[in-house]
Amino acid sequence: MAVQSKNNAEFKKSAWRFFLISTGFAVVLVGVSIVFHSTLNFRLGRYEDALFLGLAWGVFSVSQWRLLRLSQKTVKLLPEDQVDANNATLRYIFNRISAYVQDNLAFNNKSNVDFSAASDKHTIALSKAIGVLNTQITHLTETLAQHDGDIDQEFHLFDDVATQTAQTITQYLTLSADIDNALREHITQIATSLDDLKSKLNTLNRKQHEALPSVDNTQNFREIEDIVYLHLSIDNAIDEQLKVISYDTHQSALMLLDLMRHLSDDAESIVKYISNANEKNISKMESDMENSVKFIISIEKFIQNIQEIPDKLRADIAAIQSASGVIDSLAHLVDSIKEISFQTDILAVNAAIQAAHAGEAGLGFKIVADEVRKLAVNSNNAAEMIESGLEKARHTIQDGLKFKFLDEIMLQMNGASQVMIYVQQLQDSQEDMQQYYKTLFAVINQNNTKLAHDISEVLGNIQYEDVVRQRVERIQEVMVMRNDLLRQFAAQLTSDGSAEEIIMQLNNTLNDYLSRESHHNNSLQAKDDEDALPKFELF
Amino acid sequence: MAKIIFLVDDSATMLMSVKNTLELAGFKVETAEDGVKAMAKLTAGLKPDLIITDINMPNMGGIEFIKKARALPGFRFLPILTLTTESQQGRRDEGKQAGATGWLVKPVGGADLLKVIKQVLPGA
Repeated sequence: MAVQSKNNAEFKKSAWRFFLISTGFAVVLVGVSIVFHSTLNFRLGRYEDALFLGLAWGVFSVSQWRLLRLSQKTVKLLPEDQVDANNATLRYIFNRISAYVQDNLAFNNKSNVDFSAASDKHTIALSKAIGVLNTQITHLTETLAQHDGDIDQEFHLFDDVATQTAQTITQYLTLSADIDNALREHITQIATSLDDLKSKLNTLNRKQHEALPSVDNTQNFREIEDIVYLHLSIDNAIDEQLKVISYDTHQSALMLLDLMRHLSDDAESIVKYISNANEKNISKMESDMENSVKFIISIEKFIQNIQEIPDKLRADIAAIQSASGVIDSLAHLVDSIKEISFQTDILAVNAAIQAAHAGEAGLGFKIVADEVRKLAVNSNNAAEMIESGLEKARHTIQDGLKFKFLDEIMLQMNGASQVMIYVQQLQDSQEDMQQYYKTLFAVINQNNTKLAHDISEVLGNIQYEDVVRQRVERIQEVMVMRNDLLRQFAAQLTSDGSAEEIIMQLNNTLNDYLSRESHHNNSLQAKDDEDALPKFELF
Repeated sequence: MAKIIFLVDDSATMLMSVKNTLELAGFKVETAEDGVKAMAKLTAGLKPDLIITDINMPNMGGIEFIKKARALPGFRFLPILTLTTESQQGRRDEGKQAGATGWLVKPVGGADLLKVIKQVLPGA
């Protein structure tokens, strides 16, 4: 508690001191301003300066008074970090004031304006700075009033700030009292600083010379310039090739994409064609198949009929043979009858002769003999009639059989012609199917040829990989050589000797690279160059 | 009897690309990765109907390979095409002097390659 009272007392004391000094500062400021204006052609139009200063002083006094009032209370201080921040702000403001003063002095010195104007500017700047200071102090007092905290711990910080502020104000009072001196002093300071800077630069230069005693800087810089230029040239050359690589890769990718799209289109059209063909033709093929089955059944029946023919034929032949046998046996009988009738006739003739020999007695016998002879003639006639009848019968049987065969044959012929129609239809249907498959295969084949062509082109495009790889390898090669030469150059910077050899080698590396690159096909150049050599040449 | 084409290139991509194109077109393809290996195959008895060779290869380049191949008995009139990224007239002249039949600049599409092959192999 005792410590707090002591700190409070110290705080009040400091605040009083601060108040007195700052009030004194303001009074002196106004006084100096009036004096300057009156001695150096004080003009009526400058009253606003005095008014402004008076106003500033008034605001300043009010804030001082508030600070004083506050210091008489038990003040609750800010936490340490906020105090630090506020201190930093205050320092910044003082620095700004200092900068304003210095700016004004520098400006006045440079433009040779009259002292009055300089003083005006200085005063205005100073009053502005005081305004800022005042705002900050107001802010500080408000902040102080709002925060709780341990006054004992933080008090001395504020005290320091207050002291510093007082010192700064004193300094400005001194400056204001003798601006001319301050001006000269600042100019001297600037001159001294410049001298110092010059001296430091000289020292630095000397040290550099000491570090690299034998290297002539001018020469060194020229060599560095050459090397940097060559380095950039190589990079440009590489950049050109990278552009070509980029173009080739891009074109190749586009071509591959295009070809892949063709491949996809071709494959799709094959699938579409086949599926379409199937849909259209499947029903027709089904009905053709049904018809074919019917035809085949008909043909089978016909074949069965044909197979039955030999059996019928055999039976018919047997019947004919049997009928012919009967007829033949009947023919033998006819011959026997003829024989009997012949012999009967001879017998009758003989009996007639004998009856004639017998005279009257044989008259009756003669009548019998005549009758027998008549019988023989009749028998012979009958036999011939039978024979002719049998012959007719044989012919009739044979003719009958013949007609039966013809009917059969006609029937079979009809069947055969029907079968021929079926076979023709089957053949037609088969030809249709053959034609259909032929067309299908032709279309598929055509598409396959296109597919093969596209695949071949895709394969051709893969060659870009080799072209690009070789270009990248050449770039890698030149970069390795360049980096090696740059390493050599870096090593040489700290030692004796000229970099001429390295520059020459670097130059050669660049020329070699450009020359090698010009041997190869450049698609970017070839694109625009009508005189470019052909891609294919037969010697 | 399929014609035999001997393909010489150090790039596996090139070998794959051209080999597939030629095989799709019905040729029989033999390959080698550089001039030395190619010469070994030729001296071992390979009798191709056409040689297609790269120019820039390790161990033995295309120009030297063409010269050596031409010196072998039976290879005097064999068509030899070069397939390379090089395009400059000077290099073409070198190839011509070494005995190349034609100069093709990579990349070559399948159709173009087969067109040139048909010109140098009329029966193919």
